[in-house]
Amino acid sequence: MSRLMESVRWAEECIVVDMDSHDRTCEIARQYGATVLQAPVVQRIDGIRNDFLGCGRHEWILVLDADEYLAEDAEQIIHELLEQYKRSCDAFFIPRYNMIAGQIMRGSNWYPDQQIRLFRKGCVQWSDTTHKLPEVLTGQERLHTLEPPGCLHIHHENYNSVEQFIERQIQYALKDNYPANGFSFEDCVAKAYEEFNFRLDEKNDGELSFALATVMAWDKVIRGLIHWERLGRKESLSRAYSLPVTTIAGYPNYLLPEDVEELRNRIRRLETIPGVKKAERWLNAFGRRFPRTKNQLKRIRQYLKRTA
Amino acid sequence: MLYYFVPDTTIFGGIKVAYQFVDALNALGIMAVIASPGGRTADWFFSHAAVVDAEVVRDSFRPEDTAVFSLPHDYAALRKLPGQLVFHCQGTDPLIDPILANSSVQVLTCWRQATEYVQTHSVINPIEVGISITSSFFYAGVPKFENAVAYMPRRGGYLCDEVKRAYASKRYIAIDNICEAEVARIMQYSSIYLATAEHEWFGLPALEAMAAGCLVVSLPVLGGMEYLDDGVNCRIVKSQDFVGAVGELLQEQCAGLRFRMRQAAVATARRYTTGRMMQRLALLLDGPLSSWRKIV
Amino acid sequence: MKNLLCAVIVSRGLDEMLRFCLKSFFESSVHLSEPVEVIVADNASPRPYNASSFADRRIRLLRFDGHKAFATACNKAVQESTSEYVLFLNNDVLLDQSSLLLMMQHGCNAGIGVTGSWLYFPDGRVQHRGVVFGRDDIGPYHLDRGRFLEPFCFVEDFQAVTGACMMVRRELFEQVGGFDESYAFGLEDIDFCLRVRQRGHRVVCVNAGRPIHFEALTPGRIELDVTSRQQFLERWRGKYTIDG
Repeated sequence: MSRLMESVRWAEECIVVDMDSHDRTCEIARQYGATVLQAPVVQRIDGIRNDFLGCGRHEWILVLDADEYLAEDAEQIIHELLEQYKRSCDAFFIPRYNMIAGQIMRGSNWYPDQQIRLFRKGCVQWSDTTHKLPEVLTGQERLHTLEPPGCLHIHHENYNSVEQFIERQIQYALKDNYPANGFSFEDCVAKAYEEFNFRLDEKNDGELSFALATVMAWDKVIRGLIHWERLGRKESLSRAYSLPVTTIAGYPNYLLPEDVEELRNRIRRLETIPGVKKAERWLNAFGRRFPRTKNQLKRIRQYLKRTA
Repeated sequence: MLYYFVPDTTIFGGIKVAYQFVDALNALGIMAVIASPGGRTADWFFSHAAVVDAEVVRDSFRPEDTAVFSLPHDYAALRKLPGQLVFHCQGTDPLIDPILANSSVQVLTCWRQATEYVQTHSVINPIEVGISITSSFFYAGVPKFENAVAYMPRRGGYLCDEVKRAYASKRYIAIDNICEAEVARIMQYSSIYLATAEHEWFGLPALEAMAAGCLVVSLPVLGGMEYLDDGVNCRIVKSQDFVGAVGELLQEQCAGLRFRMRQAAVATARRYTTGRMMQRLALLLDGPLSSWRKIV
Repeated sequence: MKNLLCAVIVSRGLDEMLRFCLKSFFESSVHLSEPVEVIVADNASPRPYNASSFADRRIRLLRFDGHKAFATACNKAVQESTSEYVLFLNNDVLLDQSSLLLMMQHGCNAGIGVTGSWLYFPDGRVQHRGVVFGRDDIGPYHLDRGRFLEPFCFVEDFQAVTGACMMVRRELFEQVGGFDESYAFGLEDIDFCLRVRQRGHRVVCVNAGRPIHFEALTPGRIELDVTSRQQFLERWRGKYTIDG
């Protein structure tokens, strides 16, 4: 919070919208001279922003989240942008650096991650979602995209750790809205695969990218199951298997289902044909072929001795 | 009525495709039945299509009816029928050229390769209806035995024998003359599938094995190249390199490759689910095949 | 004014069961908001049904002094009806409030040939949710019978559904030739469905609420079943596709 407040201390007016914080957030905000307004705790955080956009006295608004901050030269760049573009556009598409678990992500899916955060009052509206882009009410042509490198960036310290990342994704999944129609678990699993490929960028972000891609892929599957339950568990899951396909350890003498069937059939026939010696010989041959079936064969030998 | 003429009931992939096509049409509200010799049904796969006697149908065929066939050999007899003739092109070879020369025949294709063949060999504009894999093939979590290798001895059996001699420690399961449900069960627990049928048109078994999460080692096929991606979701090698390719795949250091190949295989197969095929067919019935909706 | 739906109930004895069956049928028909009628075929009940005991004027009674095959009784009853649709109903099937509307909506109104319904035993297990055909001597049987299962889609295609609760357009019924009267008791409904399928029409099983089917309450039914089954297999083995 302090770092954020420091980086925007040049702003003419600062409003902090507090959603029932129990730590020193409001205190720190007031120390920097910001107006603190209270907001109700809601499930999805985008829409709540709309309620407070009208509270500022100025024409241009910059919206930041508490875990974001700006660079030292932000003030200068923003002034230059407004000078140059204030007539031709109403909003700016600003790229964002995301830092996850101490690493700034450069993969194509985490960066440039452009956000609409600097806009003229009344021109932008959020919907009842979490972490989705708002709508530019005066039209897409009035949105100016800042192209990196060298332009203004939002600095976002996303998550402290992979654990926190996982926890947060589950929370978003549990709090989200799910539509009444159009459920297909097959699609969810297919999307999970797509998501994994989209998020993976080991060249830029290394092992962490793989871990996060895995979590994001699983997120799609989990959302599918939550959606299924919200619809009353009436839909079919289409046997859409979502775990990776893998083999179990290869012991050369593993009993295949075929072998068990063969064993059962032979036992059945042995029960009708007399001659314990024949059975013994056959059981020994089977035992040599499948050394791991010792216990099963022991039981069969005992049965034969009893009934002979 | 739409009648899909099939030659008989033996175990041949083209027949299963015919029944499943009629199932899909029925579910989308089209009046379609299978016309088979003596009204006999194939019983080695699951379907709920209705079957009628082909002889009776031929005698009472009306101009409003539609006849579909996929075996080129049936063309000579069926072209004499009044009504619309439709060729469901499941494979391409010069045998189908006389059919393509008849511009009044409607042509449906199962694969992109077949579509391209029809376009280059005739003036007919084919409609690609695609193909689907029965849902029981899709991997559903049964234990997969690393040492289990499935193969079809009927076609290219000599290559399988060579592999068996070279890698005797594996367990080889022959898939021959058994019903679809059993084939699916075997593929589900097998690690590797050897697709050794030479000059296969489309190699549906290879695609089914991919859906079951098997590593497929295949000879080059004609039509199936649209889903077979060598080194990504399967291995495609010529017969002289076949045994070597299986050996490469079985090496210790290839564990990672095997794992990735399996996931890629399943992802590829997911493009051919019954649901997808029905969606595609529904769109076609609203478009180029809209005349079929008027079939009574 | 022509009736929309005629329920054909072939019944022998079980007077109180029949009364409840009729009651549930009429309660369900309220949601159709079109006129319905019922034809009760009294199939040689030891104590004949009393026409005056059916308080409702929409019920017509056909009395057979000699026991008729189920198929014969049904065919005769359909001849007497004038409705657009016919619902064959067993006297031990209690319909749900929404059953008729759902069967009509998802079945007959959608151009389907024959519409069946999910039926449950009184303890909630599935009694019927479509008939499937097994290989060799297995032949037709009820899919998932006796299992605790919930429907996960509204409509499912089958080759046949049970005649205990089966809705069909009367015109189609007559076109196909009605039920085959050579079946003593049982499988005439499956025989009928297969013939309907051969004409290209769909046979579906609809999730129609939770109607109950007590099943086989009429004494003596099981013995007649065996000969019908043999007859069916002789005629149809190798001619139906395998789907179960």
